[in-house]
Amino acid sequence: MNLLSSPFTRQSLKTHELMRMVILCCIPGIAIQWYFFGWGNLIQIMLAVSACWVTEAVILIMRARPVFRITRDSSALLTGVLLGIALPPFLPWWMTVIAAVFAIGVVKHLYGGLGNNLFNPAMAGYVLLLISFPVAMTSWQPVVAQAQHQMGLWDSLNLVFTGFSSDGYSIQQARMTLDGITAATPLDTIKTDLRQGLTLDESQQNPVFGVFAGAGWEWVNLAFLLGGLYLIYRRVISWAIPGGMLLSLFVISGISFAFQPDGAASPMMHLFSGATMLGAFFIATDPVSACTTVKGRWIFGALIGAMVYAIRTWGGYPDAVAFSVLLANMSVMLIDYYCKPRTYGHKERQ
Amino acid sequence: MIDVKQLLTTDKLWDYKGGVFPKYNKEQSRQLPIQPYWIPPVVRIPVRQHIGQSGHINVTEGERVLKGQLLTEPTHGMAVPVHAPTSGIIESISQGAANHPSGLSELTLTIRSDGNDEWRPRQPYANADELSNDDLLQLIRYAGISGMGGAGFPTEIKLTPVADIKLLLMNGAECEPYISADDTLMQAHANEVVQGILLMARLLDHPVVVIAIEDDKPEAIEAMTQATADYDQIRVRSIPAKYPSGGERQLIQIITGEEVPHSGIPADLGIVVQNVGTAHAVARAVYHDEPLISRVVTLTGQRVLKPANHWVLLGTPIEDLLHHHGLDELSQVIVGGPMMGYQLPKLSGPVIKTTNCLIVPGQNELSSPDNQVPCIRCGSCADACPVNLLPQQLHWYALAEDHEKLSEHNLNDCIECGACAYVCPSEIPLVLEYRQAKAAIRASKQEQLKSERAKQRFESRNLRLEQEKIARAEKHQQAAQARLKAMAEREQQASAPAATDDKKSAVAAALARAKAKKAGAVSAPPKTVVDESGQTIPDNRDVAAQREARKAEARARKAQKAAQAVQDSGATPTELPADSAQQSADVPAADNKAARVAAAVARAKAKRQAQQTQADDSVEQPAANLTEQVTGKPAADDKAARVAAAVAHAKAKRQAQQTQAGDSVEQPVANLTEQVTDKPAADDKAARVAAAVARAKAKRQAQQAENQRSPDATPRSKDQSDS
Ligand code: SF4
Ligand code: SF4
Repeated sequence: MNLLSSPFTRQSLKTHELMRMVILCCIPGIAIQWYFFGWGNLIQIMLAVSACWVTEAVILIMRARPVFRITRDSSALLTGVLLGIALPPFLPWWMTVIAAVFAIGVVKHLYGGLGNNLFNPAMAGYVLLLISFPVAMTSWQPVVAQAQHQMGLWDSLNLVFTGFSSDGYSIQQARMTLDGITAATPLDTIKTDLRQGLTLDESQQNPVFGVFAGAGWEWVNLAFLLGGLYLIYRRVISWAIPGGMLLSLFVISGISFAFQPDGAASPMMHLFSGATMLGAFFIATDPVSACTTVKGRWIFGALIGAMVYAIRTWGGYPDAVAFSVLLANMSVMLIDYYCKPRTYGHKERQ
Repeated sequence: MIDVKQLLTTDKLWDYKGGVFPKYNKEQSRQLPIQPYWIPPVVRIPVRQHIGQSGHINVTEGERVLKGQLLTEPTHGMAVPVHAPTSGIIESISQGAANHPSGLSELTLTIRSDGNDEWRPRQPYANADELSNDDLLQLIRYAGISGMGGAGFPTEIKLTPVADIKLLLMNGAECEPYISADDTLMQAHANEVVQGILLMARLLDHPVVVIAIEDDKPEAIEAMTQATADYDQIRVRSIPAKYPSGGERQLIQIITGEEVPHSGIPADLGIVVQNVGTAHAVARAVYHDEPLISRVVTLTGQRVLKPANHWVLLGTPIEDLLHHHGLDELSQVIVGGPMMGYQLPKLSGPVIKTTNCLIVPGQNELSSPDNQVPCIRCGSCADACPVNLLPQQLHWYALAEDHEKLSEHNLNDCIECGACAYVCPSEIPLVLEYRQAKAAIRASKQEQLKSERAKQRFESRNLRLEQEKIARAEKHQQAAQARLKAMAEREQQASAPAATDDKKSAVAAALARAKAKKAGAVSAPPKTVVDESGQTIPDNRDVAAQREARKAEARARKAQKAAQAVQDSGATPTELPADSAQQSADVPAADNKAARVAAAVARAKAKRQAQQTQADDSVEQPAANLTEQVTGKPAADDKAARVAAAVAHAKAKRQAQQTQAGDSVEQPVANLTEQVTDKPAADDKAARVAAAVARAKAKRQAQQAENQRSPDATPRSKDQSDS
């Protein structure tokens, strides 16, 4: 008789349910993203998800593991979704596939599969592309309302798979704004403008800025914030990591904004631009590659926040979440080691 | 220290980190009254149902026994007797299915009941004041009472105060889902429970009593509050229902806000924790002369049509009991609650003193073990752990079998409550892993100890061989020298007139030779002594002999020099050799005095340290140091060794008292032995000391080994009691 071991009862939330819950909570953000930036990201998500899933299945077969049982955990699905959200909408399809294969095949499975990866797979795939194809990876198009050429589903598909829309527009042309200049993301705009000696006010005359942050981006971030708060409410993620990250980003950008209100992006700008909210609630919280102690998670989050600020302000790349998360991943072991909680009956560590 | 007076008035409760809120599933069973007991056709009584050893069987096969008759005699300290739960004939005394997760069998007395349920003559006490405390303790012991909530620690031992007990904490939390045995017992027999509590309190010199009950048992709280209304030293406290609040250490934290120190016991805080069921058993034993032969068991689970609590005779085979309640085709029975219980390996195993619940689960009632996926480091387990461990890291290191890291992460503090596994979304059997890892660590520790001892033996053998070689070489050299000298003497005798002096030097030389010979002879006998435990210990006699030889040689050389001087000067240096002899005679005398002083100091120190038994660890070091100091002095001789012996004895005794402190003691003793045996100055006495230490150690280890062999007998496991 195969004896069971206590406990014989378990609470209901299972790992695959957790993963699916995270995916579901991405949906508001994805919807808003679709609303402002068109079909591109949906196509990227589909692409990335398929590529991730196929890679996972192939590798599981190669590792002689039960494919069906393991893919049920939906972790590859989640990696695909996050990757698809983060990639520029009209990125050539093969780049997306490279990122997905790298994320699942190398970053996840070469390290031993789910639970053993040191790095966040989606972000590692993203950074691989960012380093290899910096131009393509920084090519976001403007919000739909400001774009010179409207891209429908069919156009978008063509752009992603052939590089040209059905009307023959290239990706570069798809990025044209109404003014006929190539769009830059709000964070990019600020950085460039400030470096060119413009004041913040002058810079913010640019139509890429919206009500309180980047046009379109602010709503996308807000939607991810909502999804994230729901995840915390459902106890799928703990609030330590997003809390630490947003707090440190807010405090650091707040301080520098207070000292040079005209020479630095506002805290609001930092919190609601780029991938801040997506990163805080959906990416940095990937439990496998994050810190696992409570104190450690605060530090982990704060570290990401600080690095996001540093890279956005002084680095060469417009956004910084992916790099920051990977860098923080590297310090996880160390942080966790020093954040061991005090065990019952033991004295505080000297 | 806790402020007990405040405990009687304060409304404050503390909380512990972590804990979980499982579905309690108690409602059905706790509403019904406790059902009367059923006399099964046979009862099977394992002789050991608690932590500790079994008693000595005092009945024979074929003998008729009466209900309540003593079946085993508690012959030693941790032994708890068992009794016949009903009248009948002893059918067999043999190995039988045990009620234990290991599935190992246990020496079992099988009684075929005659159905008369005929009592032995009983002598209940109407008034317990007639009993002295010692008699009362003895009575509790002979009633076979051991903790009824969890691990089953002998109650009498817990009630023999080792420290000043300020608080008697009665555990009525019963935090495990499904179980309602204590709940219904308190509802139905509150007065008897309180009687038992009063008896216990008396034995502990009337500490404050707090009865802690989880707030999902309002009826029990009500009943106990009423029953204790007349006693202002007793207070009933309702605590929030949360698992595992009934864990001994968690309960202490909830009520007092204090934590039992790591590797300490509640008595260190002046607290004794007892289960309410145990109190009831004590009252029955004193006022009805009824030993522990039955208990309340919750019969529940989806397949049990009418979950309820039953009085069950100890020894009732679980299978028969369930059949009696209309349950056939049993495949799986859980003993205890769903959080910490275990699957009964053999259904014929009996109900024993610690069996508080039997769950017969339905098809999908309990989680299946097949859904495990890898740990995603979500940290839910760490949030749930009441001891503040990092179960996810423990899981990681358990898989890697990294024992060092496991100890670093305090695996030993895990109370195996199962809260971590309960919340784990990946359904990892964490508790199972920890149990296995703990067992592996224990085994490897033992292995290590063994190999260390072998290494010591090997090294001492090498040393001995080396020493023998040196001694032999010296002997040859001395002989050669003596011959040379003799030759020189002969020459001298022939040539020089100073014959008397020469004679003297000749005498000295002869003496030296004799001594050298003796030294050589001494080094011949066996070089090791074997103590009772069969452990071989290096004998230091040859070291001493060697020293002696060296001394003799020095003296011989001196004598020779003197002779030489005489020869050279032609004067009469009579004083010289005599002087040196005088000196060598004086030195030991002086040494003796110094040693005696040292001994006195050491004894005083040892006494003082012995008094500080509570300050355990801190004492360890000084004692070891002291030994080192004493034996390290070249001047030290027998006396010093005797001091060392005294210290070692005192230590051994103290350690024996600290049997609870377990492993931590190991190392220092080993060190001590090493120190003592390594010192060249130490001689036979030192060897004897070493032997004594080793014996004490061996005994303690044997005891530990005994404890470990009984899987739930580690000192730690009593912490899990009563959840
Ligand atoms: S709860 Fe389970 S999956 Fe989560 S960290 Fe703990 S062991 Fe890993
Ligand atoms: S079983 Fe051990 S590690 Fe798990 S929650 Fe309980 S005490 Fe903590």
